[in-house]
Amino acid sequence: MASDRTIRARRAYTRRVSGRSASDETLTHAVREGDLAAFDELYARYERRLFAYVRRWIPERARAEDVFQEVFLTVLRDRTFDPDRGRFATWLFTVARNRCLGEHRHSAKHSHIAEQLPRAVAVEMEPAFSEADRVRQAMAALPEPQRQLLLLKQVAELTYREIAAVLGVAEGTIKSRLHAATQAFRAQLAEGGEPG
Amino acid sequence: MNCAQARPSLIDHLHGELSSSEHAELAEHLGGCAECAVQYCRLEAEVRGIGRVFSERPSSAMAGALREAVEREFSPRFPARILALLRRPVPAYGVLFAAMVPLLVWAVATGLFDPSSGAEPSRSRPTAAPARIRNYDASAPMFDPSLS
Repeated sequence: MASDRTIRARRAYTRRVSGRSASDETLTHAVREGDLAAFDELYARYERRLFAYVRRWIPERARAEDVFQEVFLTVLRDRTFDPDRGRFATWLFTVARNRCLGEHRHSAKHSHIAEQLPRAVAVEMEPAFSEADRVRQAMAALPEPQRQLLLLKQVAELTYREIAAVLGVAEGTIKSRLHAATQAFRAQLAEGGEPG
Repeated sequence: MNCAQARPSLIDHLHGELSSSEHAELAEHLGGCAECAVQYCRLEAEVRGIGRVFSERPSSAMAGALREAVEREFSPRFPARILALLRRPVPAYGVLFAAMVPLLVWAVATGLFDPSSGAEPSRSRPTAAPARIRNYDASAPMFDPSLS
């Protein structure tokens, strides 16, 4: 098993060699031909963005890591995805979203509603102390579609066009919805008190 | 650009979704309007908080396991590796060297160059045929006894 230090050294080497110039699509081609340095580079670009996104859907860390790994491997394996014709980020987050939705539905079906209710109320009534708590509460108070939009923009760092492709709606619609979501988030944040 | 026009663009500016001309116009307005600049700073601080709060990395153990899985699955098999080796581009000096091999063989075969002789090939090769002995009488005694 590779240690943290080894992984960091590999990434530094990759960055030095590649100069961070290769596109995601070029790196995908290279990974499929067995280039591990290309995988290191691709992983470094998406580990934080993808994992943070998956984690918002799946609270259990170990399960989120499994899903993250499955999503990455699925995208690399799937030969129907042609890197020359589509954006890697869009494909990756579309697969991740579908996978997380499936996981979410599965866990919702198998968990008892009564177990979830006190937890939701507790989140609502809990006083916010730190800025991080206030942000979490403001996000939790938003409707699901708005929360998803903000996560795709701020956590996954996708462009309007990429979000439109992931959600299957027009770019203009994404722009107006994201404006509304941002305003709603700010309103929720203001309700939680002034920033500390 | 005035404040009423600038305010709706602040979110797009924060997300880096303005065109270069729109960006330049808004930047000029923000440079001259303290109220809009403060609005933008507040918006940025609040919205960037989402990325900060929810930013998370997977564990290094998972990263290592994923790398191993990719290595197992995508490393080329033996025939593919040989094929890749054959497909690799040949450098110019390699082509030059390969072209010199038949030339060298030809030179050795035609006697232009003898590699076994080193720098001076003419020394090892006899320059003239050995002198022939003429009128030799095999019945004549080997030694003349009158002389001894």
